[in-house]
Amino acid sequence: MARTIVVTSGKGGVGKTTTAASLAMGLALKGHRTVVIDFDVGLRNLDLLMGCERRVVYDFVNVINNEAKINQALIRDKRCEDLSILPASQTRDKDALTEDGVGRVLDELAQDFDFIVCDSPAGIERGATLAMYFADDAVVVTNPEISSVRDSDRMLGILSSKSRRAENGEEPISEHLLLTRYAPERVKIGDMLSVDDVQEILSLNLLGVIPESKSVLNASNSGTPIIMDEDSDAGKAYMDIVSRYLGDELPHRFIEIEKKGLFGRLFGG
Amino acid sequence: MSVKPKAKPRLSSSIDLRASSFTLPVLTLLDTDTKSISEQLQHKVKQAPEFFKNAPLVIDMGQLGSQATIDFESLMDRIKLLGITPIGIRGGDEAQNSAAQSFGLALLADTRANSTAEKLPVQKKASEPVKQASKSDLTSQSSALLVTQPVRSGQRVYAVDNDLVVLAAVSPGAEVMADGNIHIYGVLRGRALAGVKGNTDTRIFCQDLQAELIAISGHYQISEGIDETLRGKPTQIRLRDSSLLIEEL
Repeated sequence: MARTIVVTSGKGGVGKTTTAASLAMGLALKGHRTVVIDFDVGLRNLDLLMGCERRVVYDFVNVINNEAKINQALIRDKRCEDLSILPASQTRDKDALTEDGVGRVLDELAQDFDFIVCDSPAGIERGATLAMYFADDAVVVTNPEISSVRDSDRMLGILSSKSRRAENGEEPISEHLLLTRYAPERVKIGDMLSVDDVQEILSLNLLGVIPESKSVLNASNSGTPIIMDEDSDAGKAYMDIVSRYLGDELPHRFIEIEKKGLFGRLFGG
Repeated sequence: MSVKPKAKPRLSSSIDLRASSFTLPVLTLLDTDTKSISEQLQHKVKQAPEFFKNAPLVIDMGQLGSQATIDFESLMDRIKLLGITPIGIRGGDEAQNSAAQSFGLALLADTRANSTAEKLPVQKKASEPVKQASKSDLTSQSSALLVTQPVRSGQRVYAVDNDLVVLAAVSPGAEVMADGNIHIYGVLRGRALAGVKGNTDTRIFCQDLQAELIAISGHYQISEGIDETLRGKPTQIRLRDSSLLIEEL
């Protein structure tokens, strides 16, 4: 029986798709059969970040409308055989998604996969609410900046009341905070909210902190999830996050300003 | 149960149906003699004629004992002659109920302890009815509504006919309301409205006042108007002479 994870935020542009791509790839690299689904109908991006945009034949909406079988729509990742992608439709709009349709597709996927990662669109409308409706876990992606924090807070309220678990009175969705685009130097001078500042408002279990990194742009340009770039700090942070999600206790890195000692500066690091 | 999509207005709607609360005068009958009933009622009406003019009235049959027969037609005529509009009965037995219904009266719930107001919060227009305030209230009327999770932005909690106790923070964009007092054992960053039904003796207590808006029985103050020096401190807010008084605890 699969575990369904929704990557959501409320605010747009904070790193949901980047996170969904790396989280799914990380889980698959560890040997778990994983599928990542793009819920952003009409504005699909996941296929770009995964580098499979030229292999899309059928999409999520086709499957919901019984125009294609799930296996025809799923795209196998070329780098990792345990990872599959279900792209969103680009030509339809969000009304094409229905609760029954989505539920049916997720049930079918749950039989073949260990993890289902749902990449939510921004906002709190149909696409976002359906992406989180069936979730067991939620990764709430937040930038250390006040509007993102407020939108994440709003999303937490919705998670606790509009999910299937909430409606059925089951154990609530397990919520995790992921702080992205964190810049310790700016936190130090007081321009940016610190981890503690964000936690004071959101009070969530901290899954991890992803440092601001130029390599993220390169990764999305090349259609490679950043977690595969072992040299980048962001990639390393995502690796930590996958391990932490799976239960390992790891200290949080990249929160403090890195002080390069003499040797560090001489030999690079 | 299902996720409701935003309704697309197909045609303009003719109605909007929702529950509302009304306080109604109840005439409890202690006797079946319609003549003496109307005489004594007339006496009351004379004391406050404006109040009774066209007023809706509920007739309580509960004290009459079962099998007591009363001339409904005579009762209705006499009440209407006094300018009062009978709208329903409660506490009647089968025969009395069907008689009442044949005169177009509604059958109202016979719950002496609870008023209809109690049932409201479930239908209250809270966008996400977070804590079904009515459920806990109906079972034990006296204990306050207790909220242990943070109240998130966009959520609304309303403690009906009761105090509200929040054991976590209230986020900006969240709303906590109570007919009684509000006690927040955490930071208040959203809105807090006490004494919503008009009780001016209610107070708001919080461990850290950073509210967007505070109000007691309709008298309110917004964040800008709250003294900066009070931020971050345990405070008590009450009403004195129609203005809000904010004091450190």
